[in-house]
Amino acid sequence: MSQSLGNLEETVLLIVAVMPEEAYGYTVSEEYYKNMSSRISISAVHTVLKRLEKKGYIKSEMGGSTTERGGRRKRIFSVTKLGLRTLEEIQENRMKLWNMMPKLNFSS
Amino acid sequence: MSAPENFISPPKWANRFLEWYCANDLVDEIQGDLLEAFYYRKQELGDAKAKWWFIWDVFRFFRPSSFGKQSYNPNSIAMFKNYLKVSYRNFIKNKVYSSINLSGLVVGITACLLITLHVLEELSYDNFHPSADNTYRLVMDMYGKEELSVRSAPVYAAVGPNVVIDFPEVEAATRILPFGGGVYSTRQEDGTLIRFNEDNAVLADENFFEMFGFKLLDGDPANVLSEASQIVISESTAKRYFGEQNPVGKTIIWRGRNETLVTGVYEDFPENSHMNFDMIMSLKSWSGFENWIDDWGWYDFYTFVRLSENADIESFNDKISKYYHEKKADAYANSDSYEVLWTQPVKDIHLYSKGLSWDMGENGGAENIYFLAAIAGLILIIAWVNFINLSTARAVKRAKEIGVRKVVGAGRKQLIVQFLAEAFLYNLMAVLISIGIVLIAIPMVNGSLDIGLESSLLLSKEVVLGLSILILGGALISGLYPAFVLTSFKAIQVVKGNIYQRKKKLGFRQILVVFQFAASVTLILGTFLVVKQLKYMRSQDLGFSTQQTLVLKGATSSRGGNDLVDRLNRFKNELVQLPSAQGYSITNSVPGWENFGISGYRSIHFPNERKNLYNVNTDEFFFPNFEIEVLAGRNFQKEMLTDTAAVVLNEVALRHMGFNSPEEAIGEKLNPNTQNEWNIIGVVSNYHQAGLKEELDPVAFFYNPDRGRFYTVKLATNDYGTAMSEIEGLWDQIYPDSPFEYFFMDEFFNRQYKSDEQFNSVFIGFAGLAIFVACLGLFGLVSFTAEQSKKEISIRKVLGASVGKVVLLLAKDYAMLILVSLIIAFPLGYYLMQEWLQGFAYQTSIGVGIFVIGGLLIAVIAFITVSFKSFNVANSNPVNSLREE
Repeated sequence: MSQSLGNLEETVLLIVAVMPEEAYGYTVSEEYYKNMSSRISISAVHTVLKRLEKKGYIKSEMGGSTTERGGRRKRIFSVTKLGLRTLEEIQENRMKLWNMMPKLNFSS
Repeated sequence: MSAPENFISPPKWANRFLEWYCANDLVDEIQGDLLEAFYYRKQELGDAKAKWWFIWDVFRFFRPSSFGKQSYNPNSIAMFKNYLKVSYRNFIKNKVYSSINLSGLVVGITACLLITLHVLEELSYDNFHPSADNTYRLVMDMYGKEELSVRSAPVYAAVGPNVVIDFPEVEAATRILPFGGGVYSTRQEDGTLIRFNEDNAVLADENFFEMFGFKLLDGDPANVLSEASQIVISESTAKRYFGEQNPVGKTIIWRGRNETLVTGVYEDFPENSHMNFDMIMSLKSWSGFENWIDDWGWYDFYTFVRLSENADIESFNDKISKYYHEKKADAYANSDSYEVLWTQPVKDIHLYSKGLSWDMGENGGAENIYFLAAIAGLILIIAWVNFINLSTARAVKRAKEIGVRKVVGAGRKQLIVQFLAEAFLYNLMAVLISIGIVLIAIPMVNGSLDIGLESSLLLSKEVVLGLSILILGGALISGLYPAFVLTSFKAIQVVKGNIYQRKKKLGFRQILVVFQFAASVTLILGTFLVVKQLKYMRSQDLGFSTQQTLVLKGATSSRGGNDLVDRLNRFKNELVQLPSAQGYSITNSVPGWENFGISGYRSIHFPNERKNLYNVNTDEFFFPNFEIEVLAGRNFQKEMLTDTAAVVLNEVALRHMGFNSPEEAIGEKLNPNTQNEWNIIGVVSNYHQAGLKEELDPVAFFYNPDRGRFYTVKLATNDYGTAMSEIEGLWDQIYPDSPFEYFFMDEFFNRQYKSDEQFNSVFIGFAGLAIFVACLGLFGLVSFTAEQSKKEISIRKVLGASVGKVVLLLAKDYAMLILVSLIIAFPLGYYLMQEWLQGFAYQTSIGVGIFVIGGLLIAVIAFITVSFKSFNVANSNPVNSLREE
């Protein structure tokens, strides 16, 4: 891997990956809350997204606006190829390690 | 942006703040996300919580990354870091000058803080009452034929109940009668008698606790004072009488015979109350209470009114000033005297009651407060001036740094910012250190001055705000001029190293030094005057002798009938048998005691006008014991049975009643041709009833040897220990039911000067600080001058100049400055001193001496300061400074 990926960054990257066309600051923060059962502030999400974009894992474009947003437009994020590959790599590495886990018998 | 109808918006200010700091290209995503979050949270958590979340998020986004590229310049932050570092290095490099600079500021700010705390405390008097803004005290001016004769804090008994009826805007009125003093006693279960003489005991109307914000710990405010013979006592009083027991429901006996029921206990009155009572009895306990509604003659009642919220005080004042002329029309018809009622906001009583007679507590210190505040400001300004002076003086050392910065590309703006930042740091540090010092110093100051400064006030809104302004304002005031001076140097000249000239004619720095010393001189002059006035008051002939005079507080506890008279006679007879007692006098007033007994009298010269005289009931020993001279006529005599209808006047009373000479008055009468006629049998010389702050009072003495508030004893010996034990033994034998309480006449009289002495020590203390700070500044300046002219001095020395000549050369510049400051300070000081003396009836002369000594003192101090450093430089080996070229 060329650049290291932090724990939070990885999670946010995953969230962006699973929400095509829907990932922006507020939704990412909500999705994080739903799946990770802890809160993360919107400003933190913004920082992480910005960092991921800088590292080239995600890209963004300005989307439409809604009344809930007071007419402000969204910045929609989507995963780049590099991002997707990195995620897959991490998952593979992790699976390798999981497979090496000795089979413990908890039933006895 | 367009919003639907039901759109409840987040806090506007937070939104605006966000829009303000947020970069334009980021505002869409950031504000959009926050608004969207707000929209959903509102449904989920409710409006309030959503708003808090919104505010929180706005602050979370407040960081450089949101500001956009234009304003976020990492270089300027780096520069700030560099400024900090350079400031620190400069501080360390020039430890002496930096600490002079800093300690000047610290002293100034500390003084300022202490005085501010005191002023805040004084201003907070009586602001804790439930509707303090609508609570007023009714007071009255009493006019004689031609002029204002006395301003009285208490008013007539009838005023309170009548104003409530006659004025719709008066919601409530409370009267306080200050005559609850005397002995109070209670018997414990085991039979021991607890007894105390109470001075701070009053009677009050039943709505006392509804009118004022004093806290009842036990008892119902509505009915603790609603019946006769009810008494409410303070927490500490309760401890004295009942220890840890619950006092409510217990009985306290007043003056031996009147049983009163304790119905409540209140928290001791706070420091910032002009009233301070240990016991409050219900006003109904006084016999004759029912008739007071028509009593327009007895004026010993402090009367407070609460006006309704929307009452117009102007029109109320208007109406109330004419009130007596309606109510007392009959009495005024055949008299030349009249009174005028006026109102005084309850919050103003403490500071603005100067000149009111018979007031409660020590009131009327507004002038002193202004004086102190002015001094505090002055010290602070002197400290800032120091900072300006030293910083500009140090310019020489900093010039190279500035030159290099300029060469590398710093603009003037950056340099100014740098020096302002440095000034800010100094001020910040000084404030922090000062707060620490104040916290440590408060207990000491309180102890030595007997005042109650509260450190908790340091956290009050006013102080925190004031300090923030102080830091910012201080940074601007003390930083701006040096910043401009320092940055105005031309880089090329600076690097060449020639910007300094010792012989500059009249620079800004010189003007500042003159200012500092003018202020110091003024303060020194003031100090001398305060001391002189105090000494003058103490050394003045009081018109009576205080020596070896012991005053016992008269017994008030009676067993009924003629008991008090009988026992007093026994006491007198046995007292003169004691070897330590030379003589005694029974009187209801002693000098230094505030006499409430005042009545109006007519004379042949004023048949239609009652002139007020203070009444003193006493016996035939009063004049000889106090060594008051009989000018004409005679003293009272026991054998003269008619002396019960006799009166002795003092000189002031004599003039007051219209007589021209003592002899003329003898044989004349007070209240001639009425039932209430008094024969004038004698005239005595004046004596000072109150301290020398007050004018002499007109006094009429009446013969009443059988009862008195005070038993004065002239001691025959200097051995006070033995005398006291003898007299106390006798007392306990005759008055087992009254406590033995006494004071010495001289101490008692001088206690009146306590507040002046406090002012004195405060004044001296702060004047000393101001001079100290000014000298610090001078020292710093001289050091720099000396250092800068090192080469010049060395060359002079090589060419043969003596050390003395060199010192003189350096001192000469400053001698001129000191002289100029003296010329400025003398007239200013003279004017201020005269203003201050106006507050005293008996004034010392200002005199030339004060100016001479003050001028010399400052000259000596300045010379020592200057020569301290110059000698150092002048004595150094010229080689050391010359070889470095």
